[in-house]
Amino acid sequence: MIFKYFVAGIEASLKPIEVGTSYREERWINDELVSTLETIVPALAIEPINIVVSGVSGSLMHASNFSKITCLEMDNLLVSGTLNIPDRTFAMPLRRDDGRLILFPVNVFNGAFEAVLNFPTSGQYRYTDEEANIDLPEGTFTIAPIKIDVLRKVL
Amino acid sequence: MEDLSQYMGSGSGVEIVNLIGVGMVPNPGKAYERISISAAESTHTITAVSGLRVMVTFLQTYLYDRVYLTKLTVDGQVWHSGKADISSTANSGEHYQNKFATLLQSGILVGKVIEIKLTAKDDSQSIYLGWSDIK
Repeated sequence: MIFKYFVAGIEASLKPIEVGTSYREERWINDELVSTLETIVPALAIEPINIVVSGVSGSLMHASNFSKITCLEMDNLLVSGTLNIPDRTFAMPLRRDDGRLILFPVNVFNGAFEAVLNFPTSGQYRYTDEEANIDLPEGTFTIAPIKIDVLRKVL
Repeated sequence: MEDLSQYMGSGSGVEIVNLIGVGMVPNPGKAYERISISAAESTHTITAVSGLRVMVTFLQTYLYDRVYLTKLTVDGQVWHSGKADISSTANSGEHYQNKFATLLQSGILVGKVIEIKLTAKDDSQSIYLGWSDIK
């Protein structure tokens, strides 16, 4: 594929790199023009939105950085933190060790979130960039991986 | 496994020749590419190679970016004219709640030449655009 770049209608020898430069990019295959895109050199690469966990309650124990949390099945586990997005409620998918996704509602208000997690069965669950970006374009969110061990409750 | 591709494309059967359409520079491992969009109106034209047509499969903004479709032309026929918000405003399972954006990537955009005109709220917005080559 041959790329051609045009700035203000004049062909440039190289792809523009100066931030804010608007240019037209033509892509040619076998002397056929197959796509023309008008774009701009972005100021910065888009950074993923960081999900920061700052508190956990209802656990049996958890690491100080919340990378590992242990709780009992059927107990409410409250996870809170910050997320710089507009106020909304969304579904937070956690992946169980058998691959199944468990969805929990999360409320974001004024940049803070709270999620009440309640696991019906014991097992290991994880929440990583992969789960945080399910159904989203790549790299929308990022989070330090969290592993949750859910223990059987012995009555 | 049954070839589901025959059911795509406005209810008529299509055969996908290249899942990654010729002329696309996809993001690694993806079937779409990211294009930075400025506030000034920009034109994006996808032209099918000889003997084929193109089908737009992905047209979506980066989450919370604000991008507007101003004109959509397929093979010279104007399908849409006017400022339509195609922004992604939700995530997870609700990501596709923007009905106009959903329509655009539902497989109805098929033709020899597809021209998409866009504007954005400022010069730091972006979209994901993907297309396939079909017979």
